[in-house]
Amino acid sequence: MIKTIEKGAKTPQIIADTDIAVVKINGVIIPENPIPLFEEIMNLTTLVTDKSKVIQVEFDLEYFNTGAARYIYDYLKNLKLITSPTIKWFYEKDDEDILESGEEFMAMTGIDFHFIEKQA
Amino acid sequence: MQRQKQIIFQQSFNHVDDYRDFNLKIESVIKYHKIASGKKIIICSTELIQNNIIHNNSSPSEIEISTIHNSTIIEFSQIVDEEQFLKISSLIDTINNIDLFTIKDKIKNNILNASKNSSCGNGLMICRLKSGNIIRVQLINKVYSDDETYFNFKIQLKINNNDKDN
Repeated sequence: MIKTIEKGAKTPQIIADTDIAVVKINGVIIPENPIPLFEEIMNLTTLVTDKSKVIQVEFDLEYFNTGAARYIYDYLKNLKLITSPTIKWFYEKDDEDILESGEEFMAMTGIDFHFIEKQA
Repeated sequence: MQRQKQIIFQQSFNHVDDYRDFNLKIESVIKYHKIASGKKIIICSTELIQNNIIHNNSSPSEIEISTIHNSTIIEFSQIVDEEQFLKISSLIDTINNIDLFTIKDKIKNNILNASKNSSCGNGLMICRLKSGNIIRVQLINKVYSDDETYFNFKIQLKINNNDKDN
């Protein structure tokens, strides 16, 4: 089963695929209040973790604000408590901001991140 | 070499609806002008605008983005009461006197230790970090009402277009 929440001007597209145990988060994350968004992300993630002990979460972000950074960290921390996550963190060539952000989340959470440079 | 300041984006926010998709407008201008440090400009602009949305009740404000030489200048004007003005000025003064490595650590610690219902306070620190330059504050004028004095001031960031990312 695939459940999708479409992107907005300030929020990402979120796709949860329970058949292959993958959650994808694509776009920007800059809502002034990130709480409702991350509740939605967690709800969709739970659809996946209810069916599988192992989950892959893919982040393909263009940019995010400081409020979102704190909730991305919380989300990853909670994910680690309920499942065995693998994170795929996509970045564009020369986008050191996004790459470095991913490296910092990896260091803060202790979760295994795979960094994938997007092809042009 | 560009000698004169060229304004590439300007928007006044007079109503809460004006804040709705500011990022998309800035993105399209950045793409059109092919500015190398475009991502930093969007991130810093977002933090300045959203600080006003969150902490100043989406009060009227204005943003102007211009280019000169090899730099992009972001200027964000807003009106706050005296208490907020003193708080913001003091915070910026503190941030300007911290080195970038320490700023990075503070941002990280704020994320690690943020409580459930508080903001991280990282917005201005991110502006300092991403621009790599000090944040300038300029008081434009004071507006007096019967029982309150308001401060109309501008925050200015300079982003060097050729710097490696911070």
